[in-house]
Amino acid sequence: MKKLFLVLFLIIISSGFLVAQREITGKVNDEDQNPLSGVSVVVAGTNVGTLTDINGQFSLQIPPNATTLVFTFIGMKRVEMEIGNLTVFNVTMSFDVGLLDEVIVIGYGTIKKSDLTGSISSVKGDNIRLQAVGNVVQSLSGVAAGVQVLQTSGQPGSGTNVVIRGGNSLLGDNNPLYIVDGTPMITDLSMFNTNDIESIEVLKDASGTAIYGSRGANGVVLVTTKKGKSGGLSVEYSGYYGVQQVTKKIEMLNAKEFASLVNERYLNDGLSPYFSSSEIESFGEGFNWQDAVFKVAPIQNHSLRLSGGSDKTTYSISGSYFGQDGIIINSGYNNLQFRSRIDTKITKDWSFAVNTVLSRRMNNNIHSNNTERGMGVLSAAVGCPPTIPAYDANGDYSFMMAYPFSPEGLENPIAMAYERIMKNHSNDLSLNLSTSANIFKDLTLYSSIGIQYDNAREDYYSGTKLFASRTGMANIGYSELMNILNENTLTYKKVIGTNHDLTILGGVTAQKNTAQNLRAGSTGFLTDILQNYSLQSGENFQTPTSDYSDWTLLSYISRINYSFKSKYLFTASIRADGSSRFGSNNRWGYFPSFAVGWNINEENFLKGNPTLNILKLRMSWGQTGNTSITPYQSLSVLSSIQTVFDKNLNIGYAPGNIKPNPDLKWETTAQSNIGLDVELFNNRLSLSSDFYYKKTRDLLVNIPVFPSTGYASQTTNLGNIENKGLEMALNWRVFDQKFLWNLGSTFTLNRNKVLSLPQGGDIFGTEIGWVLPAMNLVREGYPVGVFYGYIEDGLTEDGNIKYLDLHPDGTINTLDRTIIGDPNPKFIFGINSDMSYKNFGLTVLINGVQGNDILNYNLSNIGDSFSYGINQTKDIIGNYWTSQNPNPNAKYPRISKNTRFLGSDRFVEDGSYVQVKNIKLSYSLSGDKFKASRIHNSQVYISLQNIITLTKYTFYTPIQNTLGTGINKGIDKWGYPDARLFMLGVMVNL
Amino acid sequence: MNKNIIILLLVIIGSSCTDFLDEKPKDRLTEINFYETFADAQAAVNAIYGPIRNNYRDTYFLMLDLLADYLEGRGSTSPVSEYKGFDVTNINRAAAAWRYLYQTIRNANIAIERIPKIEGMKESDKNALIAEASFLRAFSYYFLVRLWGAVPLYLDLSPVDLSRRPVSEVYQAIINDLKTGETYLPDTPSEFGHPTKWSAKSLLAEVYLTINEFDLSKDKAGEVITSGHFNLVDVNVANDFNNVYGPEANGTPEEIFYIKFNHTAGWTMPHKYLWDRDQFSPFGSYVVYCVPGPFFTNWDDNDLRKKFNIFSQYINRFTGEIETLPSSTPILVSKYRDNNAPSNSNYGNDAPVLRFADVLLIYAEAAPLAENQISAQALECLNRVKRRAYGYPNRSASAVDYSADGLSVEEFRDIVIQERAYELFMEGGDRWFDLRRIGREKEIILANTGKTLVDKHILWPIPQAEIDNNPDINQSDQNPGY
Repeated sequence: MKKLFLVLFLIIISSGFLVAQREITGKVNDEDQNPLSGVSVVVAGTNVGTLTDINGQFSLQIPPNATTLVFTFIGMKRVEMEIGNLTVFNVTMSFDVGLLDEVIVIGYGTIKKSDLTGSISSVKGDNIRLQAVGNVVQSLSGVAAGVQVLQTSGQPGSGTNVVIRGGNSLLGDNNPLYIVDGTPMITDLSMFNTNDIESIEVLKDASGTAIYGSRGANGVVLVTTKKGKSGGLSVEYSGYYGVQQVTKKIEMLNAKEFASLVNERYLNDGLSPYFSSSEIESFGEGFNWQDAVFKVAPIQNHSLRLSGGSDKTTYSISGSYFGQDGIIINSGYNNLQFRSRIDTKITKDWSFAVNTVLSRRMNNNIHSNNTERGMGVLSAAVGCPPTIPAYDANGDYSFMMAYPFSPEGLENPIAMAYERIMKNHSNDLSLNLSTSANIFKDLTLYSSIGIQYDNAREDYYSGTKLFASRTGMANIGYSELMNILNENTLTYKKVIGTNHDLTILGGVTAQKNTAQNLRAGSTGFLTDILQNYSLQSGENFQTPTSDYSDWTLLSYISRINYSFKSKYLFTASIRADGSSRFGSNNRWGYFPSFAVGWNINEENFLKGNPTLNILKLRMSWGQTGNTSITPYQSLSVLSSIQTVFDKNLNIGYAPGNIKPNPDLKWETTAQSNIGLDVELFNNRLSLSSDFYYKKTRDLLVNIPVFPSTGYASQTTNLGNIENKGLEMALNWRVFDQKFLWNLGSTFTLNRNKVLSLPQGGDIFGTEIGWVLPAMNLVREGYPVGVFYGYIEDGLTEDGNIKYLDLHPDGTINTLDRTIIGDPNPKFIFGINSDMSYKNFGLTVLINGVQGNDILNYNLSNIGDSFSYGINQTKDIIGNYWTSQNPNPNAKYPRISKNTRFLGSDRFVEDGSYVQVKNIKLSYSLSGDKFKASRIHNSQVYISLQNIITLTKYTFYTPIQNTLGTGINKGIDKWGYPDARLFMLGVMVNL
Repeated sequence: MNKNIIILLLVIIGSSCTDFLDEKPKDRLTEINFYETFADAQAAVNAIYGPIRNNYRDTYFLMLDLLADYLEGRGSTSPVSEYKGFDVTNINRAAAAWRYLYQTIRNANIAIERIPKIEGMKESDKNALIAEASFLRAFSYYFLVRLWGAVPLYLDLSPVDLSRRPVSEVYQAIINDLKTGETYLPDTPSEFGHPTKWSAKSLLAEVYLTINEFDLSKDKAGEVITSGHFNLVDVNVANDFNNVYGPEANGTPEEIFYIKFNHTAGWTMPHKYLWDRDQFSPFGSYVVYCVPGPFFTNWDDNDLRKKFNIFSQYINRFTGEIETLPSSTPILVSKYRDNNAPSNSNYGNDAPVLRFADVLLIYAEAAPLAENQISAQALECLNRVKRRAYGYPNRSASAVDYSADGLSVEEFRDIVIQERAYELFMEGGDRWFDLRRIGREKEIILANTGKTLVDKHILWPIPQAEIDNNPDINQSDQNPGY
C-alpha cells in the first residue's frame, strides 16, 4: 500500500549544488517506531527536498538560508522542524485521523479522493464544531459550497432546512436525504451531537446521488460518526457555556406617540379624540413590551467520549447534553444523547459493527412563527399598546383589548409565554447492526439491519388566564415512527495488473416506514394546576383522532468504478426503486448515472510539476428522483365527517379536499456536472469548481382545482424546472511557518427557472395571512416562488394607496399584479479564516447572501397606518399622510380604520446580508510548555456568534423563512428572531 | 461461516414478497368499496352536513349578520359592516364560504348519483335520502345565488358547463330540488337536524318570496302553517327565549330546519360577540357590537326580544357588579347564550335556518302581495309573532296586536319587514337578504347607520382560485369592483 502512496505523491525535486550547501540526514518513524518510507522532506519555501527510503531514512543537501524542514506523508500529520544547527533529524509522525488514507465516504462505500468523479463537499468534524448549534447541519452554512442553510425559525431546536443546488421540487422543503453511517434517516440530524461527528460529505451531483435513486434529487448528506481507535483509553471532554441575546429590537411608538396616533385615527374616522390631551401628556414612554419579553439566555453543551480498543475490537461511547434557552421568555430546547459504537473483527475476514444512538429532545415552545396581530408572543410583544403595563394593579396580567380600537384576539405576550404550555418531547432510538465479510479474495459482503424508532409527545395547555382559553384547553398528541431498513451489498474490488483498478458494487435494499398518530384533548378545567396531565379533569372532551400511514421502498443498486493508471476514472451506477406511494402503473423508477474523471497531473507532461500539483477534470450525468408526496395520494380515499342530529354526533363519509390521482409517478431530475480541481504551489492553493445543470421533469405539483368542484387541489406530474449554477471552493494556505494562516472561501451561484407548467398556468403559494393573500408565484420563465403583487404609485388625494393600473381597464383588480421580487439569492458565499501563532488560534467565519428579497409580512401588522389598532413602528412619525399636509408621496397612507392594503411592493425588502457568523479565539495547551502535562492537546476558547449582520432588512433577522423553503419561501411572518451569542469553551483530551 | 451469511442474504432477498409495494390504507375507507349498503347511503348523506357545519363555524354566519343595518364588526370583520367592499381578509373569507357551499353541493351530488345504484335497498329509503341530499343542495345554491348572483350550476358529478349560469336558471334548479324534497322527505324527522317535507315547503315559500312569486309563496307557507306540526314557544319573561335559542333547546315546536351543534363538536362563530366578563358566556372575543341609532331607539323597550337579544349593562362575572358598556360600544348582542360552554369553540346553540316564526312572517308578507289585500290570516300571522315577543299567548288577541286598518299593502309589507328584523335578529343574514329583496338596502342602511353602501359591496367576489383555474370563468366574469 505504501508503494501506492509513493507513486501517488512522488514529487521529484531537482536542485543544483550550490556553494554553501550542507548535508543533513535523518530518519522518520511512525508512532509505533516503524520506519516510514516515501515521506516527503522539503525545505520550507524552496523546491529542495527528497523522500525517505525503505528504512525511513533520508539525506538532503540544504541551502544556507534554510530555516525549516517540512515532513509530509499522506494520512499523517504534517511535521515542521526548525533546522538551526542540527544535522541529524529523527522525526516521529502521527496519524492524522481527518486525512487517513484520504478516503471520501460515498453512497454504499468509500473512495480515494483522487479517484473521485463526482462533486462532493467534504467537511471535517473540527469545522462542524466551530459553532454552537442545536442542529449539526447549521454548521454547513458558508462552509460547503452549493449548500444553503435556511431557517424557518430562530426558536431553539426548530426549523433548519438545507437546500443543495437550488430547489428542484415544488412539493416539500427540498431537504436532502440524510444518511448516517449508511442508514437513511427518517428525521433530520437534530438527534446527533456535533462532537460525535467525524465528517460530513455532501453529495451534490448525480454521480454521487443517483445511487440513492428516488430520494437523491435534493442531494445527499452523508454523516460519518466517530469510531474508536485501537490503543489505550482516550477520554475527550468538550463543553461550552454561553449567553445569547436578541440581535436587535424593533423601535416602536412609545405611549405618548401611540395615543396621539389613536387620536389621529379617531379624527380621520369622524370621531372625537379618544385620549384627552392631558392623558396623552401623562403617558410618556409607557411600557416597553419587547424589553419584557426578550431576555439574556444561557446556552451550554457538554459532551464526554470514551474510546479505545484492541486490534480486534474498538469502541467509542459518548454522552452529551445540549441546552439552549430561548431569547424569548419561557422558550428553550435541550437534547440528551447517548451513543455507542463497537466495531469488532471476529475473524480476519469477518467483522461486525453495532451503532446505537439514543436521544431525548425537549422543546419548550412559544407561539410566535406565523401567528399575527398579537395572537402570538412576538407579534404581541411588538404590537401591544405601550399605554398598558404588563400587569394591572392587582398583579394580574393586564387585559390587552381594553380599548374599542383594540384588535380582536390581542393577548398579553407575557401571559401567552407563561400560561400557554407547548412542549414537545421526542425520544429517538437508532440502532444499526452490520456485518461485513470477505467471502472470497476480492469479494466483500455487507449486510445491515437498521431500525429507527421515534416517539414524540406533544403537550399543550392553554391556561385560564388567557383570553382565548378561559376555562383551560388541554391537548396531548402522541406519534410514533418506525423505520426498518435492510441493506445487502456485494463489493468486488480488484487491482488487475498495476494499471486497472476495478470496483463493482451490487445490492438490494428494502425499507418500510410506518407512522401513527393519536390525539386527545379536553376543555373546561376548574384549575390550571393539572395542566394537561389529566385530560379527564376537563368537563368536555374533544373528539379523539388517530391515523396510520405507511410506505415501502424496494430497491436494487449497482455501481462500477474503474480507474486506469489512476489517470482515467470511470463510474457508472444504477438504482431501481419501487415505491408504494405511486400508482400501480408507475410504481418502478430507474435512476442511472455515468461519470468520468481525468487526473491530468498524472500525465507525463505534468507529473512532478512543482507548481501545478493537482489538475483534475470531472464530468458526470445522471438521474435522481423525488418521492416527497404523502402516502395515499393516488387512491380515492374517503374521510370521516362528523355532524350533529338531535344533540348527538353522527358520522358521514365523503372525499376530502384532495382530488385523487391514480396516475402519479416519479419526479425525475437529470443533472450534468463539470468540475475542475486544481492545486498549486506545493498544494498551497487549491480550487475546486463545478458547473452544473439540472432539469426536473414530471414535476410533482399540487395544482389548485377550482373550488366549485368541491376539491381544493390535486397532486399531479406536470411541468419542468431547471437549476443551473456554479460553485467554487478555494483554499489558500497563506502562511505555514510559525504563523499559520489558512483562508478558505466558498461561492455558490444558482439560477432557478420554471420551464413549463400545467396548461402554462400559474401556481400560487399559500395565503400568507389575514392581511395579505398568496404572494409567492410559480410561473413559466421565472424562478420558483417569485413575489407577485401590485406596484404602489403614491397616495390619492384622500390619503389612500394608489396602485399602478398595469392592465389598464380603469379599475385595480388582480390583473394589475406583476412580479415584484425574488426570494432566490443571486449568490451566496462564505469566508473562513483560520490563523494560529504558537498556542493561539483565531477563526473567523463570514457568511453572505446577496440579491434575494424577503416579504416582510410583519409590516402589514405594524406598518398598517394603525388601521387594525396594533402599535406601529417609530418610522411612521412624520411619514404619514395627514389632511393638513396631504403629501401624495408620504410613506404611510391615511391613519384610519378604513385604510386598506393590497399585497404590494411595500412589503418586499432586500434580504441580502453579510454576517460575521463566528469569531473564535483559542489557546491550545500544547507544545513544549505542556508536554509533560496530562492535558496536552487541550484547548480553551472564547467565541462570538452572529456578532455583526450587515443588511437593509428592517425586521429582526433576514434569515427566516417562516412558511418553509418550498414554494412559499422568503416570507418572514413573525419569525422567532436569531440570537447573538458569546461563549467560553474548553476541549480536553486525556 | 461464509456460507451461512450467503444463505441469510438469500433469505432476506427472497422474503421481499410481491405485495410489499401495495398501498393499503388502514385508517381510511376508499371509494372502491363504499356506497354499497343502506348504512353507506346514510353516511354519504350525513357527509353533506360536514361542509355546511364548517361554514357556519367559520366566519360565514357572522359575515351574513354583519351586513345587517344594526351590526358593526371590530378588527378584521370591520370591512364587512363598512359597506365599502371587502378587503383581502374578507375576500378570503368569502372564498372559504364559496368552497364550503360547493363542497356541500359536491357531497350532495355524490349521494344523488351513487344511492340509486345501491342494490338491495328499499326504493322509499333511496328516495328519502336522495330528497334530503336535494334539499341540502338547494339550500346551498339559495345562498350562493343571493350572495354571488350567477354561479356555476352543477347537478351531477361530471358537469360539462362550468360557467356562471343565469340567476333564473339557478332558482329553477333550487325549486326543482325542493319539489323533490317536499315529495319524498318524511313528515317528521327521525332526528332533529334532518329536513322534513315541511322544511322543503318552508324553504320553497321563502324562495318564491325572493323571486316575487307571491302566490306560490303564500301557498307553501300556508301549507306549513295549517299542517298542525308547528307552533311558537310562548314566553313570559325575556330569558324564556333561552327555550328557543339556548344550548339545550332541541326539537321545539318552532324548529323547522336548524344547523345543529353540541358541546362536543364545537361551534365558534355566533358567540364571538360575547366576552368573558359578562354573565351570558364564559367566552367570546367581543368582535361585533350594535350600531346605536334609529334601529334601536325605535325598538320598543317592552319587546322581550330586545331585552333578550341585546344589552348595555351587564353583571361582571368576576366582581358581581353591574357595569355599563363603554360609550364606544354601547350595545352588544346577547341572543345566543351558553353559560356551560366548555371552551371558546364549543357552544351548543343551534343555528336556526327555518323557524316557524319565519314562515308566519313569510305568509304575512306574501299573502297581501298575492291577494292585493290584507287578509285576516295575514294579519294574524304577523300578530302571532308579535304577541309572543311581548309575552302574550301567540294564538289569542292581545293589547299589542297590529291593526291593518287604513294600511296599504305596501305599508303593511314595511311593518312585516321591520317585524322580521326584530324576530330574525342575528339569525344568519335574514335582514340583509330582506333589504335586498325589497330593493331598499342603500336607503335603509344609510338611515340606520349613516353609512353609504357602495355597489361593489352588494355581490361577494368570486374566489380568485375559481377565476384562475376554472376554464369557463375569467376575470371579466368577476363581480363588479373586484
